[in-house]
Amino acid sequence: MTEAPAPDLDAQVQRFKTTFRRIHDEMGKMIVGQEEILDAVLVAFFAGGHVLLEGVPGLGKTMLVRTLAEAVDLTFSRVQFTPDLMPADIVGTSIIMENEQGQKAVKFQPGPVFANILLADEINRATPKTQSALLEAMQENHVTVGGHQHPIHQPFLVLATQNPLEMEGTYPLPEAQLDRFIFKLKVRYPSADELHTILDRTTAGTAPVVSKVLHSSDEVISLREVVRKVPLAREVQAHAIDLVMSTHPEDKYASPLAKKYVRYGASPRGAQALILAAKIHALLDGRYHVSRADIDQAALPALRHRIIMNFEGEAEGKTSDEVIAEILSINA
Amino acid sequence: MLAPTRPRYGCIARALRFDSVARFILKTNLNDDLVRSLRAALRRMRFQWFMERFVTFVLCAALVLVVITAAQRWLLHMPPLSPPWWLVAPAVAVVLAWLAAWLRRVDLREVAAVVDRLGNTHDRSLSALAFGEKTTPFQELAAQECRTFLAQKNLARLIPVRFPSAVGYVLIPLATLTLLQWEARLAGDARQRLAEAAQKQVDPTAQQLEKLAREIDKSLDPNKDAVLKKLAEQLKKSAEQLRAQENGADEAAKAALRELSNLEQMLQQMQKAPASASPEEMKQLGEELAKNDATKAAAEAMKSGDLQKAAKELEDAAKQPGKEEAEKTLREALDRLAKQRELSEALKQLAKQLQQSAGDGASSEALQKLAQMLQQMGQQQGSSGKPGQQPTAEQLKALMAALENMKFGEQPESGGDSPGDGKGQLTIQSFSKPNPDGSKADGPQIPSGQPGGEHDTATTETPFGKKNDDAAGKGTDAGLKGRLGEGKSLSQLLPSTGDTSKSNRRYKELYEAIAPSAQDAVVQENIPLGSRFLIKRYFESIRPKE
Repeated sequence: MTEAPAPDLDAQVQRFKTTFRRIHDEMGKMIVGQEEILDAVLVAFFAGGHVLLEGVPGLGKTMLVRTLAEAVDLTFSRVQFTPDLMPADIVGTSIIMENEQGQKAVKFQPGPVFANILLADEINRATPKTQSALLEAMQENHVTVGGHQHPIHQPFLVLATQNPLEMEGTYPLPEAQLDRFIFKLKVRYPSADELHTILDRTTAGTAPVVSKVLHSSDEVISLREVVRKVPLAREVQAHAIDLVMSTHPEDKYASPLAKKYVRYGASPRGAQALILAAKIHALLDGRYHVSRADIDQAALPALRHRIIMNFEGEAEGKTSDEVIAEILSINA
Repeated sequence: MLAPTRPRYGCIARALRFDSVARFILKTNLNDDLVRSLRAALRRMRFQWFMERFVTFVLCAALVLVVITAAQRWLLHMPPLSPPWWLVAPAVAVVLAWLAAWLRRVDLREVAAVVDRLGNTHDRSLSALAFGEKTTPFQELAAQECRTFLAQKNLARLIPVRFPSAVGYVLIPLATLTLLQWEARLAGDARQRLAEAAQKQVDPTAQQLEKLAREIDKSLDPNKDAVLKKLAEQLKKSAEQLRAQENGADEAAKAALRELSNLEQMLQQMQKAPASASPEEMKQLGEELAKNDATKAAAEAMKSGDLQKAAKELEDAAKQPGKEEAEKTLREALDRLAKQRELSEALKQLAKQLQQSAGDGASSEALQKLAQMLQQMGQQQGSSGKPGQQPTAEQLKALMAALENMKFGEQPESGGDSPGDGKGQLTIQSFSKPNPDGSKADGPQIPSGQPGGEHDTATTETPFGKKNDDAAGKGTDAGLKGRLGEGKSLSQLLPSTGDTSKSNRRYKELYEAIAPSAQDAVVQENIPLGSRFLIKRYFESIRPKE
């Protein structure tokens, strides 16, 4: 006998689509253009990943994160990374507190990382020691201070920004930390029409108000569970694996550019990112299964920061985006 | 609800070892329509594969045909394969392409992947197959959505069936085969024309050789004369070889000259062989010896043809006291005979011995020598039958003259209707031309076999001049003093001077080097005019091809 689908399953999917669109629309009130960036940030948000935004100053990166936090009614904190920033400034520290009875006790003072949405502004200006303070929080969802683990409440989303122009006095993110970001998004400069709209909104009248779409973190978690239930065929999953394996220069299926210009290929986290993002794309497209096109759609933001170019590739100006484009054309 | 045909198809698929298909068919109950659609798509894919493989195999088979045809044309020198054989290529290609297409194992999921890629269905076919076993509600939801979507599409139509792009390349081997056929036909026609030209060129010579052979067969009894029999066979063999020529008129002419030269060489060797005195010589010698009483009995025996008896009489005469007178008579007889005609080798030796003994003043044994010669001739006569069947020098010289005429391009003229005169003599006219005044030159003018003496034999002032009475009467040759071996010579081993050789560059260089000096030598040397033509013709014949 055929097992009938759960009656509320379709409703959950529809609710996810609706929620996603509503958040997108609310963010669109504040962020002009940058549709792909908005979609990708929301995909990462519902996939439970972190996002690295790369772009010149003034493109609305901080505004985007702030708007997201307002739309989902989650706690938001912002850290401006500087060279003298210490890890304790991020994760928090234990301080001696005196209570009303005059007794002194050590109490953990949480840092800004204990928020649902953390904006790590210009993360590459901090020292590697401080950058690595985020590693445990991003991957394990808890921090350890003074021998005690302190869990971070879900949902937890880190949105880090970095400026690609000013390289002096910066510390490039180590590969281990880069791998913890589900997406690396390149924020482009707005077009002339978009600039008109930006100026109209910010220099005349009142600023738009962002409505709250979600009212609790539990709603976000339930929607994340819906995403993870989306099934995919074995062959489709094999396609994602093929894409990841094609980035490895030593692999027999590596693309010609990967063989020549890539030093390290994508990690398994890259395949995880591909699948999760593809599931969200499938739901947004009204399907209940993942297709290879969904995976291809997520390939660029999910893999570009996981591919480390070799010296020859950097000398010739080759980028990981070119390698991914070639891999996609080969595996089409 | 299960489709009624599903179990049967599943069993068939299992029997055919398409396990995945069988498992799929037997366990799935909701994807029957999808499976049918995918199988229809698979049939179209197989047909497309068949056409692609067909074109590929046709190209390969046509290439093999081209190679075979080329090998037959240039390596094996055989006629190329006829166009009906070309049908073998598509026939073989059909069989191989069918086998390749239908023996290719394809999973329905592969077909679904192809259909999804071509139909932009977002992997719904693949997902519907994958989720057919329904393990989770979400998978069932997804499979239901996929089936609903795919029900609106004709999946088989998504598989394109078109001619492979490589079908145009079939024209290349086809055109090559056609060109090879055309070239082979042209080459065959050219070869036939060459053969006809060669036959036309050598046919007169071959006919003359055959005619000579017939004359020899008719005039003499070859069964009792091995030399003449061998000669006749050689003539026939040469005629056959000439008729086998098919390399064009020039090559045929050269081959004819070579054959004639070979025959001439064979005749010269036969001439050089020690010869006994001819019956005519013996007859005239007998008449001379009859003038002396001591040798009269021997002369009578020689006239009667009893050479044994003549030898015995001469031995007796040599023992009698008046032998000096008899030897003098013999010497005078030989002198007179030598003035009238050319002596045979035996009589020449005898005359030379008599002259030496006369000059030295010593007594000689000339009569005994003559007796021994006659005795040997008598023994030969006894072994071969009658004396007239031994090939005489005149016969050989007549044959030689006939061959020279052929080399010179003349038609030998047989005396009368009969090739022989009934006396066992070959009457073959030599190349001697009628005199300018219309009178015909006498008899066969026999070449001497010496350089410069083959044709005019020093009997005329000019090749076609008036009859020289002196030469006709005495029959002596005026030998020209050549400078063979004294002048400059050029000897070089050439690896490519053969007629069948394809490389003739060095031969050309050699010819160009020697041709001017040879031409000067022909003009400046004391060479009879009649022979100059032959020498020039010889150098023309060895001129390398352009």
